[in-house]
Amino acid sequence: MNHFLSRSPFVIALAFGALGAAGCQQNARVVTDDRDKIVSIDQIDVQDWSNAADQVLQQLFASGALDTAPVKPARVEVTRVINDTTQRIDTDLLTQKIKIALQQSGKVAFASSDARANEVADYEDFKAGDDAPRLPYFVINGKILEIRASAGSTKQSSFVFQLNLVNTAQSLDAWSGEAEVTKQGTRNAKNSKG
Amino acid sequence: MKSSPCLLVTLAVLLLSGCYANTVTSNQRISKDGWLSSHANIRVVRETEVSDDLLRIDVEVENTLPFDTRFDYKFEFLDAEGRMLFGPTTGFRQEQVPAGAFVTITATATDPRAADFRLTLTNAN
Repeated sequence: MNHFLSRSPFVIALAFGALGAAGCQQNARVVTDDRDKIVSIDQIDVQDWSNAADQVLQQLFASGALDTAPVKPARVEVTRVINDTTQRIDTDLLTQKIKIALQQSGKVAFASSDARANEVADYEDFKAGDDAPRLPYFVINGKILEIRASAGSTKQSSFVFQLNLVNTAQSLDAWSGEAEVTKQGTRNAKNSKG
Repeated sequence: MKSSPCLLVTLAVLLLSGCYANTVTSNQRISKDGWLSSHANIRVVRETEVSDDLLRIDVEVENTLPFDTRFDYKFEFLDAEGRMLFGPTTGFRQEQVPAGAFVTITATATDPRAADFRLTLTNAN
């Protein structure tokens, strides 16, 4: 009995620890609200891509640059978006959102990168005796950069998304836009309320 | 017995804060909750068109509180029949607004069918 009593504080602490750990666990759920998504300090979260795409799209539509094309919808190609951050990221997360929005607007049409589709289109052109290459009127390129700073235990990451719309007929930037997402804190948060 | 006034005050504060958080005001297009219901003054709503046919909304939100604060907002666009239009970048954004100052929040519809909008302003703290 004495032996049990001497060990009981340890057993009780263990039991409380197990209960505490079980209490901290959360069942998986589907998150649809951006405010409930995890906010990471040092990486681009899923909601950040949407935020950045929204910022550059608003700038692009307000500029009127898309309306300078002689034919609508103007043919567009996305050439390269350089990832100049420390993370391994797929830049399609940005360009696909921009592509969807621009296509929705009806102002541009994106050249397909599908090899089979291009092969069929080439054959149709050949049959029709049309040997003119399908050239884009606009090209989209860009860069994603990262700037880090810290003060004491507070860390800050800024991600800058730069995009250019190039008029290929004149080889001039018809529009250039930039979006920034900056996050600050001492640790990642479960949601936007911290 | 001494603690009962403190208890009453605490309960009153809790009750009031509960009511405050659940208050939602709406004018059909713009809905607000939390501190925004009473202290976010919508100064101007501008509806214009950019790039010929895309609806752009600018809303000036004034913070009448005596301290800096934050809020989340989301714009949604509807067609002429009131149907929600899909947008690849639709979602909540966060904005900070200094004490007594105002910020302008904007959104541009990506679909030329957009004829109306809905704005949700919600407490971010």
